[in-house]
Amino acid sequence: MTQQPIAFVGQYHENVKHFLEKQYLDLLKPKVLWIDCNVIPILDLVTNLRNYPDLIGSLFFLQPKNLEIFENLINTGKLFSTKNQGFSTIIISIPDHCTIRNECNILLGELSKDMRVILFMKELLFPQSDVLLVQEEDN
Amino acid sequence: MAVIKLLSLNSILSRWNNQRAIPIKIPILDDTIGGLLHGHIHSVYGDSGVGKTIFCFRAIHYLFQQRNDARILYSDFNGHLRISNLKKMITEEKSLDQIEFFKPKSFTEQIIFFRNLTEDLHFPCDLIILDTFFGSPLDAIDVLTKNQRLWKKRIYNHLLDLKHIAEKWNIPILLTNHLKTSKDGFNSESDREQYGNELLNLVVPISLLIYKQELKHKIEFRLFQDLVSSTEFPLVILQ
Repeated sequence: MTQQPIAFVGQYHENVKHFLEKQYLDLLKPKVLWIDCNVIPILDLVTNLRNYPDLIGSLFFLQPKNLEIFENLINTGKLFSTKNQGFSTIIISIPDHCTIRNECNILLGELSKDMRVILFMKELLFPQSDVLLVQEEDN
Repeated sequence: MAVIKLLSLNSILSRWNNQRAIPIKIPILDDTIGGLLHGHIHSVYGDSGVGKTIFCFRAIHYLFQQRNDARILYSDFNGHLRISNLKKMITEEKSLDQIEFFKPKSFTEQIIFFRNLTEDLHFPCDLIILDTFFGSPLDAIDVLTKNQRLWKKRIYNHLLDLKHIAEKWNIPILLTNHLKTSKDGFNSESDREQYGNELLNLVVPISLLIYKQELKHKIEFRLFQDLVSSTEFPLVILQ
């Protein structure tokens, strides 16, 4: 599997809602690690996964307690072991004030060679050529 | 490196479904989620003088009705707390001794105080109130104009600390926050970004907006940023 990270760019809750639409649900199979400092969007998950109960058992969350722990998680390269733990997709909500965007870009590019990588971010933090950008259609 | 616990969605849903709550006799809140949820942050937005502090007193009033030995931590950044009003809302004056008051001299002092509580709560506590999160609107503007990037990072980490305190000690946290409201509630982008509220939206699942319309109080209740309901509601001192 060689592909670029898929980046949802915009407000956090809008990104989550957009991602949980039916067309992206295949990306959640078979096992997903969702790394997010923010509040877990339980209602969005319950509403959108109601018709796909098998997916509920496939989602796992990591909630770093602060930005430094998030950045440490990226810098230490621990995420490379997730593939061996059976995760097929990794979702990372990149905090607005993350200061290690280059390190993130390199790590996520490497990870995406072996697994699906989905990113939520408020603004595009990486060169556009490094990601597959998902933009919501204007209403 | 700190150990980060892996949580399954099933365990998160199970915890959400088995929440305990403090009912505060506001039907749109109590009927939907049971009241103030243990383990979560609740934000109460509103203009100066609209009744945010009365809302906090109301939470204290009903918590003491539920448990007369309850303990509360009340952070009074504003310095506007009127003990006389609070006394009217609690049935027994000795209950005041069960409220620990903290008056931060600066936002930095507040950040340090609550960072320490992530490790050790110091005393049993059933409710934490931060009235207000930023102090006055001028404090907020002062903080956010000094070095916006640095301060937004600090505020975000501070909110994550509060989230961690709520989850780790399984207590509800109530934050009040200034928000200059318009007739449209807080839908517009500029409203959301006032005084760093965009940061609160990332971490706070339950929010209530109090505003006045034609001399009547209205409360708008949002869950995970989605509008659940709004209603007229008299915010008065309960005796």
